[in-house]
Amino acid sequence: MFKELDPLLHSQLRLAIMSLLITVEEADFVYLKKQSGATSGNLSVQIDKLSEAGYISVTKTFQGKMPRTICKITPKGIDAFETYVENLKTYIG
Amino acid sequence: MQEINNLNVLNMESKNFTEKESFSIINEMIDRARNNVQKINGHSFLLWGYSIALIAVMNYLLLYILPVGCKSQSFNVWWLTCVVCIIDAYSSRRIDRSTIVKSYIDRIISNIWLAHLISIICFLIIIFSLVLFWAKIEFTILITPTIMILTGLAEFSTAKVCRFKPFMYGAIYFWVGALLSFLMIIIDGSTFVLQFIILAVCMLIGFVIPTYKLNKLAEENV
Repeated sequence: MFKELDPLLHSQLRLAIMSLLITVEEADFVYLKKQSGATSGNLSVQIDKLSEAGYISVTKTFQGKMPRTICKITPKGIDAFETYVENLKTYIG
Repeated sequence: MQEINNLNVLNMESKNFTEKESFSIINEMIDRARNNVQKINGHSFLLWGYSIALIAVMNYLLLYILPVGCKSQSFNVWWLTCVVCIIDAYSSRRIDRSTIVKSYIDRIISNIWLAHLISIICFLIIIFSLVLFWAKIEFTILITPTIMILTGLAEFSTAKVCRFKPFMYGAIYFWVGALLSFLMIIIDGSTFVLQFIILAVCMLIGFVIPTYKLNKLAEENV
């Protein structure tokens, strides 16, 4: 039986962000952009959506005069990601 | 990933992507993050590798240069490690601030070397207590071999954690070096000064060279 996939994670870029963040302790915007190959605008929008859902925590700091956005997956995000993968398995069989 | 790059899918909010594509994105991203070997620890390793090799050679030379009766003063050169500690702490903090990703592996490796440092400090406290309170000066000849054994242990653990074979070979150099140092004491006590040369060589071939290889790998991956 197919289980419903979390619509928030069933998006290519958001899924890519979550997959990257589950592997590392924390990563900044530049790293996520480089690894996902997304545009800054799109990445920023998707990070906001994940942050609003409580799946990731976002910390904004400054490195010298340059702003920095550091993202970290939350326990809620880890649960959601694991559930998504489990549900995904029902489709692949 | 070829598919992902070709379609440039990550720049779109496509609604029609299949479950198989989901899996391929997850696999690809996890794989990318795993392979992203960082140079963070590389700077620290090079600093310590060169510094210890240099200090060991300085100690060896001072043992010959200093007049009889003052030779034990040559060991004071090891206080320079405190300066190296401060430089390392300062530079690591700077690198830490500018690093764009922190992996769990980096944290594990840092903790391995922190444990290595604490172990050495505990060991030195024990040895110097024996010297100060019980006048057991002969125990000091164990310092270099023991430090080399502990360094081999930490390097072997690092090799296993980051799956980097040159560090494993480096660990073997340290263990062989430790046995060789001890063997020299058994054969002829006067040759114990060669411990410092063995330590310097181990630092260069067992630590510095593998670190350069790690940095090269990091540059290729990042």
